[in-house]
Amino acid sequence: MLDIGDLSVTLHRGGRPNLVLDRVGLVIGRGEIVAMLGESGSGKSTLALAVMGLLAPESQPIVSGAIAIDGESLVGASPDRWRRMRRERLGVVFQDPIGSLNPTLRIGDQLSEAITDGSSAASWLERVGISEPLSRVRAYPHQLSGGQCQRVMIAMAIAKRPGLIIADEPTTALDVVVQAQILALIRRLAREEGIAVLFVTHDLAVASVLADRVAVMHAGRLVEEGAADKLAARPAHPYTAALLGARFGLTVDRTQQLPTLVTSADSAGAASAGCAFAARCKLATDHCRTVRPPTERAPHGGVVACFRTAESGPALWASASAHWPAAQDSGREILVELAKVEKTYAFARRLLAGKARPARAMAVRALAGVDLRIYRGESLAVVGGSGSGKSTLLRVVAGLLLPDAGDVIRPPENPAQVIFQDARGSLTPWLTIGEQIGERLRPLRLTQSERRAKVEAALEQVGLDPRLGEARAGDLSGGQCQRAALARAIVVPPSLLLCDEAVSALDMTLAAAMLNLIGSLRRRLGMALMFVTHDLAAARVVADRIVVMANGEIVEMGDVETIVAAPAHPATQALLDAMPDRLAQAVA
Amino acid sequence: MPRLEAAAVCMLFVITLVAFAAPWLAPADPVVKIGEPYQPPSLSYLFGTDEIGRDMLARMIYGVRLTWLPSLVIIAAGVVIGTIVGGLGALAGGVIDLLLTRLTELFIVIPSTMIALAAVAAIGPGIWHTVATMSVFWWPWYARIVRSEVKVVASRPHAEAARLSGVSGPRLVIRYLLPAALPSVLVTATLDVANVILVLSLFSFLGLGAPAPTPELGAMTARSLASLTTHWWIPILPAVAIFILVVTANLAGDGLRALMKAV
Repeated sequence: MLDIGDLSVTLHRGGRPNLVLDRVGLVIGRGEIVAMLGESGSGKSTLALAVMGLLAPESQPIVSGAIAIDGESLVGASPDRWRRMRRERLGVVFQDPIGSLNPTLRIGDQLSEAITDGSSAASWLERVGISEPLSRVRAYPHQLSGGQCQRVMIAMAIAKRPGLIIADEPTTALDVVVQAQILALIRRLAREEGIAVLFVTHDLAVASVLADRVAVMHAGRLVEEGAADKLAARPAHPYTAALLGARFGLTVDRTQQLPTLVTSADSAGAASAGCAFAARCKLATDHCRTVRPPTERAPHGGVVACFRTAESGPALWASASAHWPAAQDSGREILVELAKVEKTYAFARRLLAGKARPARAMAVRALAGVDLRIYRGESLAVVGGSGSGKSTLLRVVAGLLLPDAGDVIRPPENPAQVIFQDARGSLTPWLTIGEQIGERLRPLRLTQSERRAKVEAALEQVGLDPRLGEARAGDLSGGQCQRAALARAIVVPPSLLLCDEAVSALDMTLAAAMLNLIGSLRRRLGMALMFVTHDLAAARVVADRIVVMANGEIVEMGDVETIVAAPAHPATQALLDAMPDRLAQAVA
Repeated sequence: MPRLEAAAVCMLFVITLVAFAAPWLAPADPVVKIGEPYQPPSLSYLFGTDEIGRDMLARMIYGVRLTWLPSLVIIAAGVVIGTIVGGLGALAGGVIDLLLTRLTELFIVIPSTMIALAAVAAIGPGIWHTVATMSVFWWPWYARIVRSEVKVVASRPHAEAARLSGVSGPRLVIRYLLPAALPSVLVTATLDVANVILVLSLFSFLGLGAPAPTPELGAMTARSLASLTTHWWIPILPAVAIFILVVTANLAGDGLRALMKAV
């Protein structure tokens, strides 16, 4: 169905050429589901765009090699031919479902444009699991939730009966419960209709439950490819093994740090003469650094590009973890206390309402009488699905939001610091990282050089090069932005560190490193931690105590292991069922 | 910055320099007869002479001064007043915001040019009277832009993070909030140059800005339109100068915007 051979793509950024894809080859058969796995910057999205003929013209793409869809060769094809190909034989599902639908058209009308066989839009809505399809065809995209919009996108992609669907991280923006449903839907419909799928993802768990085959990209090169189950069981490339090792589920050993397997992706070089992974690989030899490994048959039946395949494997990485630093003992002193806190968001009936809520909703009770105590030095996770009120709770604790009713008692000294989910957005683009970290030192009235030393020390504590103090957010990668935000939070250690979905947007490898960092710093600096997330596995790693929220209320509270082992509330159970460990059952 | 825009920024400096140095650059007194009237451009009079026999080159150089400097002052006043009104409204919120927004809207809906004309007529004609009066009316659009940009940026995570870092008051406003409005304000200001020059020449044309013998570019074109077919250089040369000023300002605005993006 799809035949990519020796595909190289060079994109220009700021006038400089940048080799993003380096001789990539991939074949997808009819009806086959293939996952393209890689971390951000690996070139996986560029590959998806190249296959769709949608590389941005302003990046002056230079494409060489071969792309053939259904036997039709497309490299160098005219925009008209690409357009016809996309219309007739390609289905596309993007990451941002709400932004991908036309906000001015009813979804029934948009869906009808894609339907070729005369079936009704409502019947397609029913097939993708949208309730009340007959009335929903008249809805506009903003009246649906993100998950529902993604279902509509999937219906549109499949309704024209293409040979191939390209799905670029279609579940990354959704919460875990919805993600499991969407994955199951894609798999079922692709099977029913015999459609091939190229599924781009950074999540190995998602890739292995959804796909027949998995292809692993690193720094623009395909490093390994094979049947999903075999590849996950016995990865042949050290990078795949590293990804596998970095995956933390509900059973990972939380008494020590998560295994950190590779250095950050920032050191990987696509243009390197040898293996692009050599700079990050613990097995690398001089041979690896100078000669590019050829693609060869792997023990699992697929292919791999590595000289050290024999030594690779999950066992190598299992011992890579370190112990947590000793925590400071701080007794049971109450740090923050919330009593019967309520917060209601009222909506005027705006013409273009925000995401995920029906237009008629006039008020949403985000917090419905919440009582909570946070003790000095403790580590608390607040877990819940989207709309559970967990982020509102964090904003109230941080003092960013005033509650409508109830009491909040906060410590008088050092206000809480917040790590936001959107790390790049939490850094002011026109100021340097050092200037922003320095703001927290202003009350200390330090000299220029003292302040500089403190800023550099904070950057080093979070594992960043101190020279990045001179950089601005735009110069940094997503992972570096998150660390810079953390450096700002801890340069003067607060009594309470608040994390709002701080690792949800990160790749597994980066997320593991970030969790280790947060866990170590809070112990070393004696900070209490409130970690807000929808991810129970991440919560379990960093927190001792868990609070589960649903519909603005605390529905369950207790020791982390107890709750994970025996959830008492259906909301907790739903979050557990959506975890990657159990995703396979949910999708099957 | 692309080469054309870079050239425009340099050009803008040259124009401003010419405006300030006019008394030293002009080859003759712009309001005194120096030769025969209606002399076409030649080696002795590079831009010719006008209907009275005054040197056109001298009048043009002074014209740049009398058009460019007042435009700069009016736009600067508009940006400053607009930033204060818009920024104050966005940050104070509540009743103050409501009052300032209504005030801004009031200034947008009233026929400000007419009122300015009446005001200048009342306090007496003169270029600096015109500048002062126009400055009073030129800020509402800037206030709107600054208010909306500051409101948006104040709710962004990086502004919240700055507040949690202990930044507040003027420091928060100047370092974290107002810079967000800078690109839009700058673009509006460069596009505004054309408007200001046109309104200024309207004042001069009506005899309220620069009085009759003063070489203001708009007024020079307006007064000599009748001789367009017989002595083209008298209306055309000042018009070309206005055209160059406006285009240069727009290109320089693009250049500055690109420069700010790069930082």
